Amino acid sequence: MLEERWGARFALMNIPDFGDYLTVKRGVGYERDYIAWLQWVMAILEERVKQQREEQATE
Amino acid sequence: MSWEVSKPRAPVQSTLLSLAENEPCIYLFLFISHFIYDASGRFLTRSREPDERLLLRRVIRYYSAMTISLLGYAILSLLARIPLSGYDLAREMRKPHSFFFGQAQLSQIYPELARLEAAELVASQIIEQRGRPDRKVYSMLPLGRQQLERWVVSPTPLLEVRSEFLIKAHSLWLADPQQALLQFQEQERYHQANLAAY
Repeated sequence: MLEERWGARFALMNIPDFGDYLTVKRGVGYERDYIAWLQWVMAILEERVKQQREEQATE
Repeated sequence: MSWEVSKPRAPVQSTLLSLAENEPCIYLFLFISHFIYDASGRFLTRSREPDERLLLRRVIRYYSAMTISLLGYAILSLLARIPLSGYDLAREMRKPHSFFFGQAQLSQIYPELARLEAAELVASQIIEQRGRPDRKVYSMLPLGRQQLERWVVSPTPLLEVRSEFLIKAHSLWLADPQQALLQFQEQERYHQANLAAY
């Protein structure tokens, strides 16, 4: 998506767009990675909540 | 070559002495530019009438250039692209894709612009507007670009990542999973919104 937005210009490292492109890429990468980590932890927490409910139901 | 002894005003004297101790390269520049102190602290110059204002301006320019703040470099980085007013700079820094600039306030930006202007790194121009207040637009000067180019390739302190949320996550094994889930969901909403803003 980023490559489409910047097109071939991002290969030209001597223009301001190059600075925009590489910082946006870092920001997007950070957010995507962080969200993936949050979702991984949430999946574990959801599983734990489910286990707790099952344990309470059997008691 | 004849050397004269004259006595500059106190602020100039103290600034120069500080430079001689802390910034020998700049002091060398001043020496080349015909200004120097002798060992006993007397001010020597080749000029019959030393222009202290010019000297002070030159000292400030070189001294300030060595001590540009991170906000100063952020401003220079934006002005290297296009001339902007203080308000424009604040607006640019608030854009989602400019997350790395931080959230600088106008009350921080204007004094920094004044410092950069005093150091002759940027220049301002008043733009008259019909029916609206005049705009003071800043543009980068060659010395500013030179400083920015030098800074870009200078060593950067290694980043210390400290996060309240991660410190909490480190003790997540103590938490009630249902309550913890709410915190993680809130974090996810925030970061999804950031991602969507790109």
